[in-house]
Amino acid sequence: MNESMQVEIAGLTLKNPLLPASGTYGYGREYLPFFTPDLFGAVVTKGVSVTPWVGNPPPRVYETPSGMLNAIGLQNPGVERFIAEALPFLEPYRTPVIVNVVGKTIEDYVAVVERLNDFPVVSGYELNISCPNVKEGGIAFGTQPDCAFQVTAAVRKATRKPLIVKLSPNVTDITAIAKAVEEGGADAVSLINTLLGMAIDIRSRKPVLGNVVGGLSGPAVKPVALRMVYQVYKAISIPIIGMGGICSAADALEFIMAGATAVAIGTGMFHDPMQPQKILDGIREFLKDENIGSIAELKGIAHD
Amino acid sequence: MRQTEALIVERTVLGPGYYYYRLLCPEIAELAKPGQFIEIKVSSEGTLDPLLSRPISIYRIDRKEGSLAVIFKTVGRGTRRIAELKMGNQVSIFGPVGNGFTLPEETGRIALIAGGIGMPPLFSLAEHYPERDFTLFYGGRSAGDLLGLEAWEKLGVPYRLATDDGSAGFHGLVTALFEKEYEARPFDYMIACGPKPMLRAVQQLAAKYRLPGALSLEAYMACGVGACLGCTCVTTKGYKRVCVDGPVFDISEVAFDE
Ligand SMILES: Cc1cc2nc3c(=O)[nH]c(=O)nc-3n(C[C@H](O)[C@H](O)[C@H](O)COP(=O)(O)OP(=O)(O)OC[C@H]3O[C@@H](n4cnc5c(N)ncnc54)[C@H](O)[C@@H]3O)c2cc1C
Ligand SMILES: Cc1cc2nc3c(=O)[nH]c(=O)nc-3n(C[C@H](O)[C@H](O)[C@H](O)COP(=O)(O)O)c2cc1C
Ligand code: FES
Repeated sequence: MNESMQVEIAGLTLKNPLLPASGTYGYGREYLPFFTPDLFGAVVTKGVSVTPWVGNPPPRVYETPSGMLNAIGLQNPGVERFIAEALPFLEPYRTPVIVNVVGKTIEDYVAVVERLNDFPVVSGYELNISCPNVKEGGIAFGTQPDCAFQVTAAVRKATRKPLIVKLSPNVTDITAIAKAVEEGGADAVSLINTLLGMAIDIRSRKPVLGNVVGGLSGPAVKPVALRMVYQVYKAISIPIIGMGGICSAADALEFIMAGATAVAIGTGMFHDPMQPQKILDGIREFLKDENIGSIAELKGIAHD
Repeated sequence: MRQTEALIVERTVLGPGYYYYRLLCPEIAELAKPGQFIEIKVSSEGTLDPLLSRPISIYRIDRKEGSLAVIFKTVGRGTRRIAELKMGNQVSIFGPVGNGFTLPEETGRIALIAGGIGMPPLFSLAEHYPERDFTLFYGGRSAGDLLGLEAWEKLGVPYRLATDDGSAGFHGLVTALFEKEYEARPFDYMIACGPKPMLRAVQQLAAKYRLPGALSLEAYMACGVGACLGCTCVTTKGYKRVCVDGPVFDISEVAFDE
């Protein structure tokens, strides 16, 4: 509708720069009472694996100061049920669909992508090489530059669709991973995934989460996420989707000024299901107030 | 499911730490069924902390007025924030959430078993089905934890009380009280809401007497709409979401851990 909000990322034209963060929006159906998938510049789905994953034992979520821990364990019905149930639901909407892909081996990632390549409704992929929740899961890929390179390169060979790689913040130098996936052929990166944390129930003397550890998200992680986007922007030349604690238009604008082309909201949607709409309205208002013709003009502006 | 700014039209302190609120929210009241709940935003306007909304069961549904009533206990920061709200204030809520109770055609004599703050959804159920034969078994720590007894009286539902300290009714567990009554005159159906140990005991009784029924569960929640898979419970059919697949489950379906 409004050209000033349009952005380009990984060869996709998005009508606005706001996406849902993977895993917080399901496959889009659950938020229909509040808004349709077309609200977003693109939809990013919950992670999809080759075979169904049951996920972690409960409790899986716990609120912490200005944030929350989650250890869902990437529960998902597997790619076949995703094709049967989620794709037909998403198909009628006009917004591009980016499928988040998870795997335990490089072959798993490749298999999901190869299975989905022929579906026109799938506009691109986001590889979750960083989820800290599953013990044998993506952690190895996302924490070592060579593993991150290998999985990216293998999936790159398997698809010509836009390929986004989602980075883990649980590393000593996120720019090294970002460079590795750029070299591996990624069209864009997204960051950050959750920060590994935990909580203990002092009455039961036990960890709160069934999985013991979980990922921290929400406003508590925003300064860390913003710093990482700022650093990665300087290190690579492919676009960035920034996320981590975004709850307002001001938060979103900070990420864009740090170097993000687009941004995602996750935990902020749990705070208020109308938050995505409020963020979009707030960005539009800011552009108008500041007389800025296009959101793209603000990208990385904090670096000069 | 709808989101709205609900007007608080009544606020009553029921006892130390216990509150009753009546909320004007016609769109949600219109859709609400017994056993469903609402998500209440607990951060003050413009702040993000506490971050997540709190799930609270629907106690009464008044479609004519367009209102819902809730009863809650202050246990932490979120519920204390709600308790600070006054009559005439607005509060952001969404709902109704969850499957609610579905009673089969024939239920015969129904035992409602409430533990502490698990009572409210059972009241909305009893009020919704005036023609059914309910008996309430209501357990709490002490007399002050047993709320809204006059309302049960007005409804014409007989109740039996149990307290841990013996300050009201039977001195002991509500499930023991139920067993005593059952031996004298059997029930045909059981519905329970309360703390986990009580629900587990109720499930064992249902198995022992071969009674059908339902349990209403609680879980930590994040999205409250079914998207995050954060609130799952273990069932005989795998993990299910308490927020939208529940909170009401078949009594034999729930798998309690040790
Ligand atoms: C479907 C559903 C219906 C509910 N209905 C009612 C109701 O009608 N009246 C009422 O008083 N309470 C009800 N609860 C419980 C209520 O949601 C919690 O007491 C509340 O979220 C606690 O928030 P807090 O910030 O005050 O406490 P916190 O600081 O978050 O926690 C304080 C204590 O409460 C426990 N707790 C926190 N959240 C939950 C939860 N979701 N379930 C169980 N224990 C929790 C914690 O373990 C902790 O010990 C319901 C919960 C669910 C899931
Ligand atoms: C409940 C929950 C589930 C998540 N599931 C996934 C997932 O399946 N795949 C993934 O790549 N990231 C997942 N994430 C991480 C988010 O996509 C996002 O990177 C992170 O939460 C930071 O953003 P936020 O603070 O806006 O939530 C999940 C986060 C939450 C809170
Ligand atoms: S709270 Fe998110 S699925 Fe139930």
